[in-house]
Amino acid sequence: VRGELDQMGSLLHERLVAGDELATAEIAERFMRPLIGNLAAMFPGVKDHHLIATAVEDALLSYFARPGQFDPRKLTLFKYLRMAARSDLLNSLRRPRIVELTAPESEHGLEGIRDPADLEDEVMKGDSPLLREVNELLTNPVDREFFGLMADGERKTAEYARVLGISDRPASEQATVVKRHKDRLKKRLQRKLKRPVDSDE
Amino acid sequence: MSDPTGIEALAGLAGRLENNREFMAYVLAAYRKQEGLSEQELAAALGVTPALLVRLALCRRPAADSPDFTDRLRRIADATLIDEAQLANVVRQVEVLERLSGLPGIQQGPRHPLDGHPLDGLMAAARDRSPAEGEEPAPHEDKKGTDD
Repeated sequence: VRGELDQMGSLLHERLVAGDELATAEIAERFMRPLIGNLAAMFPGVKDHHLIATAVEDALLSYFARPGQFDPRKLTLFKYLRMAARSDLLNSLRRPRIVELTAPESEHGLEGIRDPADLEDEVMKGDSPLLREVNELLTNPVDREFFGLMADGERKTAEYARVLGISDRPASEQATVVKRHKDRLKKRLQRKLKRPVDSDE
Repeated sequence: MSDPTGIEALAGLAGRLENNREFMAYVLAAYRKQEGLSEQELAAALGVTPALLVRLALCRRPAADSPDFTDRLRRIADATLIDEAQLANVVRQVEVLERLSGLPGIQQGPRHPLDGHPLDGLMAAARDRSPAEGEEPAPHEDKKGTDD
């Protein structure tokens, strides 16, 4: 899992640096909740969860603004963000307006507060809360995998064609079928997602 | 935790990106302000859930002068289930506002934190102005006619 986690973080980082517009959303979706959970466990005395969320936001915003400061050869992206968020949280706790400084349970801190394997598992699962609703609507495994590629911003038609089982067809035909499937799936999901909103009215 | 799904936290992050011109959060905020829409109303106008709107807000804004702008916008539209043409309309409308206010185009590079939304003044002026006869409606206004 650790190797996969390293690789996943590196890939997302590469995409961010390369200017992939979806990378920031995917990084936030994958890392934000585990980071907040980790900090909350690390600082059980901090009752104001807004402080924790703000520290994680700060860490992510700094990373988005200056991705070059992260060196994937030294740390995993998760650890880098966790260190940054922890440091931001400690700084905000030290500010005078905060009544009580709550020290972390462990000065060695980062490992051992919560089982790191759990956190890594959570990051690896990558189940975006923002896509949960959509994924729940996708009962067909082909559509689910197809939408997974769309959500990740996959550009290669061949990848979509593989999922649809039409890799043996000419490239132009693959492109047409993929485009059509994409449009239909989008429309269908949009209609299904609209329903609960309509029924509330 | 008080936010078991994590959506609230992601929405908080998206909210902090509303003043950063390099993010779609900025575009959506500018568009909402100009059109006088709530987040829910914008989500409904674009035909997506509020969660998908947060996803869109967290995406970087494609540079308008990028040679593959359409491709980039299409990827974002696909990843958020938004109609590509509608999304393009929203982005273009905000670009027009920016040009009118003299803001330079979006390019790759370091970003600067801004106090308040950079288009606040111009949008207030635009809201004060009554629509002239023959003007095209805003993209969300004619949406019902384009739905299948």
